[in-house]
Amino acid sequence: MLRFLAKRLVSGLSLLFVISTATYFLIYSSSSNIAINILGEGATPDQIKLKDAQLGLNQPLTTRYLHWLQHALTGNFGISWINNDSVVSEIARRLPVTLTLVLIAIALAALFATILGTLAAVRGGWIDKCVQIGGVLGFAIPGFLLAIFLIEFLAIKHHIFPATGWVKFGDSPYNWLRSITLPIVSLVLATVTSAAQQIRSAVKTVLERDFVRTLTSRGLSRREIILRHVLRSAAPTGLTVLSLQFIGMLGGTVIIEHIFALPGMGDLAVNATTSSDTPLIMGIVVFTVIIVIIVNLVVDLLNGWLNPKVRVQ
Amino acid sequence: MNSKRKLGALLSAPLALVFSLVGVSSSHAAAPTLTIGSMTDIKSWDPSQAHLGHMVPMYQAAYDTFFLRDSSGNIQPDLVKSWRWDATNLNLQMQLQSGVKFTDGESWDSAAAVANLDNNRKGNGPDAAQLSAITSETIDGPLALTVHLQSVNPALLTYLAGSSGFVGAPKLLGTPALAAAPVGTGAYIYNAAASSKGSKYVFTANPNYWNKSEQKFSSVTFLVLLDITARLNALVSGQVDATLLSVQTAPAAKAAGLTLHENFTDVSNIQLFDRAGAKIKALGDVRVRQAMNYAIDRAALLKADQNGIGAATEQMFGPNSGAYLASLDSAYPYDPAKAKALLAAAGYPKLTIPMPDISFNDPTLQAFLTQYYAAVGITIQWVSGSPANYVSDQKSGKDAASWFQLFQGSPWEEIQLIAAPNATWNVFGSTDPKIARYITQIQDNPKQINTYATQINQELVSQAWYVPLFRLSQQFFTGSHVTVVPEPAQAVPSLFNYSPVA
Repeated sequence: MLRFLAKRLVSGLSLLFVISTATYFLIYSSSSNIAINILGEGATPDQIKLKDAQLGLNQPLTTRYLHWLQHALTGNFGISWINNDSVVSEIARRLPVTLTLVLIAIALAALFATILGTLAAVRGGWIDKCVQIGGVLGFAIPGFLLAIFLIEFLAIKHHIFPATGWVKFGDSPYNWLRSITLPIVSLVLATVTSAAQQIRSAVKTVLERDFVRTLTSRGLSRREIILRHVLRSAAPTGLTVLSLQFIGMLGGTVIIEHIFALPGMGDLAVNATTSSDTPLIMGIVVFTVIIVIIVNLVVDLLNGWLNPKVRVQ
Repeated sequence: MNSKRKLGALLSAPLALVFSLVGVSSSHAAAPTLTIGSMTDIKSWDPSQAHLGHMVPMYQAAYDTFFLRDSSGNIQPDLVKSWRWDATNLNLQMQLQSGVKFTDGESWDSAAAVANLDNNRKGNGPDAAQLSAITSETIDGPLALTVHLQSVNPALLTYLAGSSGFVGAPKLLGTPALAAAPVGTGAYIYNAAASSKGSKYVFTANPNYWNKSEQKFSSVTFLVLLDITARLNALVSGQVDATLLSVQTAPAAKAAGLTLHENFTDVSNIQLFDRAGAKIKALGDVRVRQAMNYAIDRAALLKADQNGIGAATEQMFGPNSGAYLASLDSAYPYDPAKAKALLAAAGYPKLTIPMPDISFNDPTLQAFLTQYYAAVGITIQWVSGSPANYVSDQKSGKDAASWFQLFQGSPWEEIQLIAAPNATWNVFGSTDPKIARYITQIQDNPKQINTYATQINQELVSQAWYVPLFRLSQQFFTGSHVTVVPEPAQAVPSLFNYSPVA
């Protein structure tokens, strides 16, 4: 297990290095005149020169990259060129909002997708049809459209939820719940319908395998077979689907956060990119890659725990 | 109850029940409060980093300015009680308000004024160039000082009433503490505990404010709502009292019974930078530039691109500038035949002009401009680029012509923006002997600024330095709890122009 973990960690760190290096050089190639972007159209040549010097933009690209890398290795990602705030503190302020949305959404999606997918596979009939149609609808209806409908209906027309904004849990748990409900519903629906269809297929496949017939012939109840054996065998598929959904959701929150004006990573990433804020973009990229690596590692470990064959492999 | 309503009630009733069990907070307390939806965020609270436009009301909560620009655009006293220019117009004597304190306990005096002037002009902020004419200050007494200029600047008082005039606590100027949390003499005190950087800024009334008549609310909150749909939703649902929308979202706000406060601050135009024909020889010929003006049906364009809201125009100066001439708005009526004739006479019956792509911002406008120019023999070659670098690329002189929206300010601001040899948007440094002469005459006799600025306006139109298209309408809306008076040449209303509705 330790060897497995070590191998995964090394490949994760290699991935992090490659992605961050590529991002740094790609940002450079797509950005120009950063000082004017920061200072505005009225900046004089002297102001631009001074700002370039302040940001270290008068140094060669490789020197700048090595300087960034050296500091990043110690956890110092610098100061945002636009917001004048520490990159780490900016991300620390925004990341909890995005992670709250995504983690709650993925937990709810896992719960409902497992229930619906299993019921569809085991019972068939109208539930199965609903899951399949829902899968298509969930794929076809974008989250932002659902978000707009929910705002119009539940925030503007009936005033049940706020149309925009984020309330910290510590300030008011009730208002926190109100502020995250609509964004989470917007994120969850497509994930549930899509994951339920995948889980349905996985459960159906497992149900057709010999060991299920053997267990049935030994007199185990249908309920016990499904909950203790079938779901365990189908879990790797479900976990993989959900891990992919989780990673996809990190990107999907950009639009949802924008529509609901939530102070998460989405708007931060968009603003940093559109203003060529290199330190902030690099911080966001590194933290996002780390999250993806952790999620993949956790899924691998869970798969190994659930399925002995994976451990052997 | 019809079936749609029944369904709505059925779906919303359980949610309403659940949330009403816990209790719903009231959005409007008894004391008047103000919540504004802001389309931009603050980068730094240091006054030197303030920028004109959408950020101004946020700074106005915590900071006073040297002067105040009222809703008619006239300069009034603020932290400066009275002032006087000397005969050369190079020395400005100022008498300061007495008894004013910063919220950290420091006093407002001559030393504080000098510290703030120096911070704002040397802080390398976005509007630092506005104060570049200042060379030094002399303290004449505890509440009196003289500001010395190297050249006449008729817009100095306007600048000191705007983003270059915010006054922060002297001891904190230039420090990270002030960049993170504003400390000024203003009507409201920043409430850091209730604020959340990037999303919400809360201010509470300053109990010791020196100018109580300008303090109309018990608290002021700014919600940062970058997305226009989010701003519309927040306004319609009552989360904010006021915000800026657009001509596209305005109908929904009007349908919800919200009040529109229309204002004009920007002009949509094509900037013909290369008036000497350095990059594109044809643009050096005035007939080609005039043809580009005749080729556009501005009224039809306004209807297609802005739902007919705004005002077609053929001049860069706005109606409130003092240099506007109504007759100039018919200088280039839509006349494709005349445009073709001018191009042929100039020797360019077929012409290709590269311009930076604007489809990321306004695809409708891009399509119409393509069509209008193609009809007279001009092919616009839209060159793709990064939207993030759109402004900086233009400023770098990469493009011979490009589309942009330009602010319409007071005459001197406008001249420094579009007409002077070193103007912000005179990227190729174009010169014109008449314009140069009028600028000198303004500096010799600032009181006659409107007369000479009008002549500059006429010269810009006749020389076709620009292709003005239309003045954009700022669609600012308020809910039922507050009202506001918009001001000329300000993208969003100043904070002191808001009032609670009794």
